[in-house]
Amino acid sequence: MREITYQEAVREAMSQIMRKDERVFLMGEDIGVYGGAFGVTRGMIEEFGPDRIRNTPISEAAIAGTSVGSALTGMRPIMELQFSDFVTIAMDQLVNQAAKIRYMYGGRASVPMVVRAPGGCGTGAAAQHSQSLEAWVAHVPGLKVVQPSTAYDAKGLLKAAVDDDNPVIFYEHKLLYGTKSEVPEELYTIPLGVADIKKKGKDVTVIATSLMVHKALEAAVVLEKDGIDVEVVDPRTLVPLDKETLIQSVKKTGRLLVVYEAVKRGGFGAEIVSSIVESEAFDYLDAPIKRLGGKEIPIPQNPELEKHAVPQTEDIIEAVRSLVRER
Amino acid sequence: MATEVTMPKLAMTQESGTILQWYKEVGDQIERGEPLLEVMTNKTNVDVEAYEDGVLLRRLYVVGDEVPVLQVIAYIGEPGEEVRVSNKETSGVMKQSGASSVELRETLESNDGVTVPIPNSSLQIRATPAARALSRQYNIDLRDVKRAEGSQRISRSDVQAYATQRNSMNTLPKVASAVSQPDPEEKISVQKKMMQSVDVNDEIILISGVRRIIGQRMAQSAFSAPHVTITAEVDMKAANDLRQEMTLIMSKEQRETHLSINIIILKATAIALRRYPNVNSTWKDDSNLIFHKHVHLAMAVATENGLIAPVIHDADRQGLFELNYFTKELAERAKNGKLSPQELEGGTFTITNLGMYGIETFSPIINPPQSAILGVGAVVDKAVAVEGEVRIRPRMMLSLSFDHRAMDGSDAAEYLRYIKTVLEMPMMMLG
Repeated sequence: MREITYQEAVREAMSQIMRKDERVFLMGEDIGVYGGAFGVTRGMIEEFGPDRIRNTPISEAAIAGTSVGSALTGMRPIMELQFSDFVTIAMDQLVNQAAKIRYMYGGRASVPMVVRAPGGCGTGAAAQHSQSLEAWVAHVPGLKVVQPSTAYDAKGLLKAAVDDDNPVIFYEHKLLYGTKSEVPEELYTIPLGVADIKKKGKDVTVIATSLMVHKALEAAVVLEKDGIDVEVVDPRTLVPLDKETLIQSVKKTGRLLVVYEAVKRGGFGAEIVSSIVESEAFDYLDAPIKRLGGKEIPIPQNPELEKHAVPQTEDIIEAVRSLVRER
Repeated sequence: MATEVTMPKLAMTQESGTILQWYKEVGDQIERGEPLLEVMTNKTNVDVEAYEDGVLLRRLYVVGDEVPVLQVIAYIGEPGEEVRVSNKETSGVMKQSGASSVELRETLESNDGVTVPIPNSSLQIRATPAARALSRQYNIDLRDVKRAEGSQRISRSDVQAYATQRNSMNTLPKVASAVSQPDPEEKISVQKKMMQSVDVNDEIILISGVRRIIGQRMAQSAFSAPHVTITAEVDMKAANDLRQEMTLIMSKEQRETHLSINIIILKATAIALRRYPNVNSTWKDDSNLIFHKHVHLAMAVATENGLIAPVIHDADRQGLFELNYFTKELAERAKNGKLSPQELEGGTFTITNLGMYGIETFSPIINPPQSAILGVGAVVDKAVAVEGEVRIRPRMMLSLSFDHRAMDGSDAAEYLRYIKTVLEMPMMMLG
């Protein structure tokens, strides 16, 4: 099968969806001729024109509010945040409007919109452009949260996100845009709420999200040489969360490491750990659960310091070794 | 100032006691003379009383721990009083019931003089949830399980290893060394099979208390003393006649206790021992052989809690009626668990009887550190040749197991022949 990049997969998914569904359109800052902050929408304005690829003023509140309104009228908007950090400005529209309306109107109205949000650090973009705030939105009932880690997952999950009648926050990772994987040419759907075992193993379960999936897979290759057989599980969507797959994996291995880039304190990894401890997997745990997350600091601009702020492959290797060794 | 409670020395030869239960929790008020805990020594259970009024401040050992005599086991003092435990107080632990005390000791060592919590239940032991789940499944007390080296808590594999070991000890026959050395892999697979052979419906019981002690002593005897068992058939006509005649001359009081044939066998055995001190002996530490001047006859009694062997001191010097009364009374108290530690001490020879089950011969295991044991069979009417004619006679088999280190076959045979002679000519008891 052909390989394309994560960025191309997102663009291809949007284009194929828009060709089929007139209701779908894009909104965002400089997403037209410029192609957006990371060039994801590059070339789309040529095919779909300025009515469906809409450049907006620099106001995430306005973009989000317009998305909510148009979704309520039957459109299916995809809005792009230049950086996921700017979700803070769109927060009132997302949390108090998008997430609430379907409930408050007894299901007679729905808000089928997608917020594409490039997140994560690693590009030297400094503290205001490098955060991973997915836990903020995952906390709010009424919002769905997706974090694809591969080009294949990105295309299939974006299709599912657009098809969903609820607001979906779709986290892309800046460092993943250039990564390649095999992606079918035709449009396909990966249902929300289905985790993926990226690598099967029997000794330790590593549940990782987004970029950390790749670091966990790198770590697994090194650990394999130590005779440690790591299972890498990618939840793919945080809301809804496929607890069953996570639980079954932990029941099998008895050891769990959760890795996420967001600040460790209050991060979504805490939710994953709680889900495991509350489940039947508890009686299968044969070591204390470990959690790797970002340090409790704003992401530094200096690229070297930036690396130290979030988990790296070596940290995962060390954590897995200690899980097996120390028990 | 807190007062120490020590493991009492209840008998001369007692080296340690096993804690069976604590009657008081930490923080409980206790009065002088009130029972504080129950201790088992040489298979008797004794209540240890408090010597002081006060509050139970600390307990240093948990149920199942075997503690040397005079070792501090608890503190009584004023409410809220701090107790400081020094290294040496817990360093002399002989054998713990399990990880709890090991952990306790290590914690104490690492925090010299600092008050630390004492685990008195499995729940207070550090173990992974998976280890706990498995221990529940196998009915294993986590205090019995050892942690792997370098590990901070008991893991599933530690419990599995303990279960496998326990299982192999219980059921694996000692064939491995006798046949040929199997490779370790094979051994493991055998053990695994044994584990799998535990059906979910099987009841698994923790080996503890008297059962544990019996097990240890029997194994110690069977695997250290080279046992030989010889048997002889005894004509019991004369002994039976004697019993009947004696019954006739018993006083009204004496008749309240039925005179059993056992007493005559007991008496004959005791008299014979006086004559053969090499049978009435103790093999001590591979360096000394002790010939006992006194005949202290231990008699095996089956109780609900297992085998117990109270001692009839100077059995050879007692008259039949006296022996009869005392023996019955001793057996009764043994069954009710009312023996004092002294009554279990100092036996020089043991007599055991399976005759009431119709057993004729068996090979009893020597009650260590003694050198021999006599197994008494059932008295059975048999057709035997007497003076060239076939007669029906009451006959009984005696089985004598002896420690071949302490005596030779001819010594044991002479001794057994002497008992046979006495029983067939009971008048010899008068001599």
